[in-house]
Amino acid sequence: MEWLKEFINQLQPVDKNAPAFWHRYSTTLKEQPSRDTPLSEAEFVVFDTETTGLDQRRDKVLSIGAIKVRGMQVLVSDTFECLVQQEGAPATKSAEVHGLLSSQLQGGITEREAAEDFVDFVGNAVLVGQHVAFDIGMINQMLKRQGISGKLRNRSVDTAHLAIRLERRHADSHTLKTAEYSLDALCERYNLPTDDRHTASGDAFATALLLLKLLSLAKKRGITTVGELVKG
Amino acid sequence: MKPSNVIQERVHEFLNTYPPFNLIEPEKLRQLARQVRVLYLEPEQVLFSQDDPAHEHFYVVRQGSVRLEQKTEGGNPKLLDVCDEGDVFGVRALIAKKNYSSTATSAEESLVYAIPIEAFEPILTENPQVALYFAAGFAAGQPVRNPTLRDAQRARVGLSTIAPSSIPLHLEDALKIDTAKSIVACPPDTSIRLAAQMMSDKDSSFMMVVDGEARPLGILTDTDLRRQVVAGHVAIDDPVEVIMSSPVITTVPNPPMADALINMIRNKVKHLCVTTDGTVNSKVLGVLTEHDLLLAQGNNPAVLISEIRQTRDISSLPAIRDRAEELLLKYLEQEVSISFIANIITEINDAIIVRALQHAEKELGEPPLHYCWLSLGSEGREEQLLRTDQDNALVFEDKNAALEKEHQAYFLKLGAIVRDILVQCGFEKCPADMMASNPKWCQPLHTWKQYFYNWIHEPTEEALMHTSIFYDYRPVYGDFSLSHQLTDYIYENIQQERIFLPFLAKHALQSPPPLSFFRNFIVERGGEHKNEFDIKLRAMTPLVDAARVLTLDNRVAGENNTFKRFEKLAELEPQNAELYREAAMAYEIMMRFRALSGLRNKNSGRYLNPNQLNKLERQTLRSTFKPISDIQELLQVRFQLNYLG
Repeated sequence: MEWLKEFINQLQPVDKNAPAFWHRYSTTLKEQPSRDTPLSEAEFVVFDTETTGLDQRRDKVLSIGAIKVRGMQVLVSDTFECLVQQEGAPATKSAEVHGLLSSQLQGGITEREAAEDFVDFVGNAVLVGQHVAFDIGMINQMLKRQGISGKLRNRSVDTAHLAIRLERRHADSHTLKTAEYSLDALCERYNLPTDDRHTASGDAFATALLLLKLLSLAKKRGITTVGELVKG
Repeated sequence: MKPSNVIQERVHEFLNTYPPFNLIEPEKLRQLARQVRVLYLEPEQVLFSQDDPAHEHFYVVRQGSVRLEQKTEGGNPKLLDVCDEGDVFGVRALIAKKNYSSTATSAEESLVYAIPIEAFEPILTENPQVALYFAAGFAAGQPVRNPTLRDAQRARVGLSTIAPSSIPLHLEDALKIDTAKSIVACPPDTSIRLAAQMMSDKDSSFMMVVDGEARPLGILTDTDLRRQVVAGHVAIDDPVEVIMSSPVITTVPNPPMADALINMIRNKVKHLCVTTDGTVNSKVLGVLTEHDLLLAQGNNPAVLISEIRQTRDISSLPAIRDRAEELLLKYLEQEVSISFIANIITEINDAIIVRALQHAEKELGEPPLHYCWLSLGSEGREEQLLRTDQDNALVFEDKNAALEKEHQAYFLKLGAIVRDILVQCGFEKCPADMMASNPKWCQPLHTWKQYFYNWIHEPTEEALMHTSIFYDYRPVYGDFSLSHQLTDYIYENIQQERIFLPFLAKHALQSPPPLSFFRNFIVERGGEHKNEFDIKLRAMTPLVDAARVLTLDNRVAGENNTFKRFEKLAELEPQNAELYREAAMAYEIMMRFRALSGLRNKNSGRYLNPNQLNKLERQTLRSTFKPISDIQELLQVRFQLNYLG
């Protein structure tokens, strides 16, 4: 059914009043590479957001970190990082975890700029993240506040789900312990460096390394194309 | 350029931990870090194969490890190296621009940073330290362009970060400098590029800039070059006068050391220009460097030695010997040449032995016969830096056979007194009891001849063990003609016994050097790991043994010192001169490491723990292993040891 969703997505008209960046995005998405693209040629954007909380409707994005993976290589040159000014952002526990104090956020860019820059950076790449649906949802809320009616429609891969799929192909999902699939646990299990965690960029970098590892595992399981990877 | 973000900063920090990246200026390294790609390698994944065309990147291990192997005719690949975290490999693409000469395979799951060659090349051209790193063959799986140990040595000195400690001086002495030594000088319009080239060719730390009448206009030092050129403040094709220091600090010829020192300190310079009348208005005669000042303290040991000779109280010797150790540490830190240091230490040790013998003779009364005291082993070869075990022997003349036992009894007492004084001075007793206080090694000349006769004509394993100790004897005190008679006898017998040298050569091959370092281990040629490196057994003894058997084979008599043996060999066999010089250099590097390790850990320095070595030190040591195995190969071929069984 995935192909049908994509097909319908492409048919949706773009709001004529949408800003230029959204037109660019819609155009590039139409040129999205085919589902048969080999994994070794696919482009991924691995990203993470830090937010004021976990409520997708009320909480806001404080920072975004993203990095590209192409040709099975993490490209340190192609990175995206921003702090987002959020007026009246509630002082929550997040501030303690991410160390992002409101004074720092003063130095950030507006939500409008962040949305525009991030969408430009992402293009039609496959979006990758740990529990990526949440981060995509947060970005979509950002877009909505900026008066954009559309949503991000890139293909996406959740590294936690992918790890579960590759590790326990026939397991009953009820017996899963989610703690075993946290980014920290996965990095430790796969022997990946985890210094500098808990910033959006730091987590995005760690997740990108995790993706390389998972792609190598996927290859062994006979998963060779983008289509096979995202269908899970 | 945008400022680096968190990810790029993290890559930068990692690179900055390891040479050669830590030699690059921070801003340039940041730019480089931004262009890194990260690769994941699953176990046994091949990153590149031998004969593959070069990639656009070279590599650094971020995590895990990578094996470099070469094809052999037999089919089993030969292990060249194992790279761990921070090791640089695949540089053939960078330097030689040729197809890979080995295959890189991950030994375990690994993350590897790929560094774009295009971005690195300008750094390589502009930064002499980085160039030196590669010239020295410090990247894994080299040789790149036949690197020599001379480069490794220069790199070790040039890239090390040990701060030299302050220098003790004899301030009243006049400093004589060798004005005949060619002065490196150029006119002011010379390009910086040419000047740097000339300095590098002459191995000089400075360049005098002079006018038409050879009067000093300015001076250019390697520090200036580093600060100005590499930082990009001036262009490499600018004339030297743009960056030279001017006016030059000058001095009269042969100034007192104190004046020279104060002159340097006051003006914060490391070079003094010596001119005919001591001003900038006369002709340049030479340049006095900080290094010359240090070497001039050859006087300092002279003071120690005269104190040893003149002291009435024998119990003051240990304190004097301790001061010699401080001198040793300073020399090592200041990178004074090892042969110079070894000479000084030998002089001091010999003076102590002589003083002890004179004291013993005074206690026991005149010796009944002529005798000669022999130093053995490393002391006999004049290459002992640290106070290790005593190794000595005594030979007395063949006279009045009936009284031989009585005479021996006198010399044994003499030996015991000297032994105890040496113990006081920090030289431990020989655990194998190879000392003149042992009746077996305190014998008349005819018995010594008999010993050697047996060792040469019946080269058993034990006899060959004795060679390393007893062949390198050196007369220190007494009647040297006894020692010379023994030497003549030995060489006569060696000429007659054709089987002896091949056996000695075979003995020299007993311990091949290791291959490389990996994390906190030594990697053996077979690939297995060990956690301690016996630098004496695995690297120094093989060279000492090889030098000995090769000089004997060339019928050179009476040369004990390993450096001098290799020097002599290089003269006699021009076709192998390069290898012999490399071997001598390797030996020098290892003596230095051993001495520093011993001083650091207050022991013999014999066992190096790879844990305590930094990357640069490991890479230097690794580069010394190659000449050892080359020279062992030479022995194998020359003495046809494959047929010896």
